[in-house]
Amino acid sequence: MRDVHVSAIVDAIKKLCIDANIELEPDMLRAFDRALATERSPAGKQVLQILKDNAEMARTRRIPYCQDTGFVVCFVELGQDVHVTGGGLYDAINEGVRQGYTEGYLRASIVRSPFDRVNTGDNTPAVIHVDVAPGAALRIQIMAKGGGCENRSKYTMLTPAAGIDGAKDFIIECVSTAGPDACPPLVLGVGVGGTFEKAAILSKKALFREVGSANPDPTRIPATSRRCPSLSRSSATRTATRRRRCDRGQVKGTACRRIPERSSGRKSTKRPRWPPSHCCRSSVSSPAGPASPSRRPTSPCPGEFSTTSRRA
Amino acid sequence: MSVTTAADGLKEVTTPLSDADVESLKTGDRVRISGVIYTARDAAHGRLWPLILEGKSLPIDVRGQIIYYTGPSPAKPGEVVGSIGPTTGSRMDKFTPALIKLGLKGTMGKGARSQAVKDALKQHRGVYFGAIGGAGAVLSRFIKRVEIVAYEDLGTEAIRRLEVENFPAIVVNDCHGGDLYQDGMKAYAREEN
Repeated sequence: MRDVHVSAIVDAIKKLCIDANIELEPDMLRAFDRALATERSPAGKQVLQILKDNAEMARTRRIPYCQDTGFVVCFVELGQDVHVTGGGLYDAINEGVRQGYTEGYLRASIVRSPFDRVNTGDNTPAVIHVDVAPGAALRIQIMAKGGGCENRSKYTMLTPAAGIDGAKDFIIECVSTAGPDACPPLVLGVGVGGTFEKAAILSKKALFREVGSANPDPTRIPATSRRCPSLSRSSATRTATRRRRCDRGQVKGTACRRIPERSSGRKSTKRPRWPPSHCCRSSVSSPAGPASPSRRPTSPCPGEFSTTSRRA
Repeated sequence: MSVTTAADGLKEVTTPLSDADVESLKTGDRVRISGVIYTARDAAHGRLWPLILEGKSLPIDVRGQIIYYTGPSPAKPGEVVGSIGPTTGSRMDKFTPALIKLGLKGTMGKGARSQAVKDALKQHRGVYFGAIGGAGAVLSRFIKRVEIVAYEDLGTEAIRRLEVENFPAIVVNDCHGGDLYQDGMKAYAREEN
């Protein structure tokens, strides 16, 4: 059993919240460069260049690159041999968010109720998902999820007859209807399978992966379906079956972030599994703004716990 | 008040705007806005709405003005403003036609507007500018002064008076029925297979 004091969690979350909003991740910057090489619209090119400048300015001036500093979505992988001491895990995460948003000059965007819309003043509460895993590692990933893209998330129930083509059509429809509202260029997280809520969580987790990377478990998808004909001609950056950047003419930018911070924590070998292709439920989260693919630190990290943040 | 074309082809827009200024702006025009503009988003519009319905005076005189849909992040010590990019314009679709009718000339945000807003822009001579979503840090450079003028208790959603210089934007919806987003979709759509 390993003890992890809540003060370490508070400090880590605080730093993650600030860094996620100020430093755009290298994979997003690379994605901007790839998109600049293929974008046909002059306005689109200009926007991509401005987004690169924006990322640089945010980093050097230490201000958030978007005024919408997001809803904190927190994925926790809690080893079953970890003992959190000194307080509650959820309280520690929320305290880290409170400190990060207050001390980091980040915008408090969360209201206590959708109907009275009273701002909580410190961007709490976070949305927290906890998975229990074997071992004594505590791994935390956060995403600062902007509203403009979150609002364009979509869900559908497909029939088995719809198959992979039905999923692709739905993905394209999501991008098309999100249009300019979700701060393009868009990065999509797609979840397929399980139940209603499982698919939605998978789609969010997918945003931590390297932009443009394929799902690590492609075995359940027939090889012939692993390219999406209707998208593959659009951009060289779209290589993965389920991860798409769709840049349309005339549009805008996005950002996201993942930082491997204190990396330690025993590496779990478990990777997110892509659900069976015969599952008939799919969800697409279209994190326009900033979005991104999910990837965990790939090197084994023996130690206490690790954290990752991602701006979306 | 004026709209002039600079040597680089961009239009220089100085607020406030007249009908003639608005008429000279066309969908797709890239502009630099200077002068005073106001910020307001969901919550502030929610407070303006009953005043508009009751015919009461508003805390700001909207005639000839531009409202920028944004809720900036807090300014760090010594800074004029934090990050200040646009929010989604359609959030304000319910309120915009009435404000345009009252003489508001411009709105600025990101994303598409409703048909009712586009109709109001045509009928009352108004324009919708698009600012770059996700570029709030860069856009903060063009803000020279910030003053809260109403609803301070709304925090980031308070109505602010901004003095801007050369704030970059693009005309999305003009008063002639043009729609950049629709044109852009058509121009760059790809046939499947």
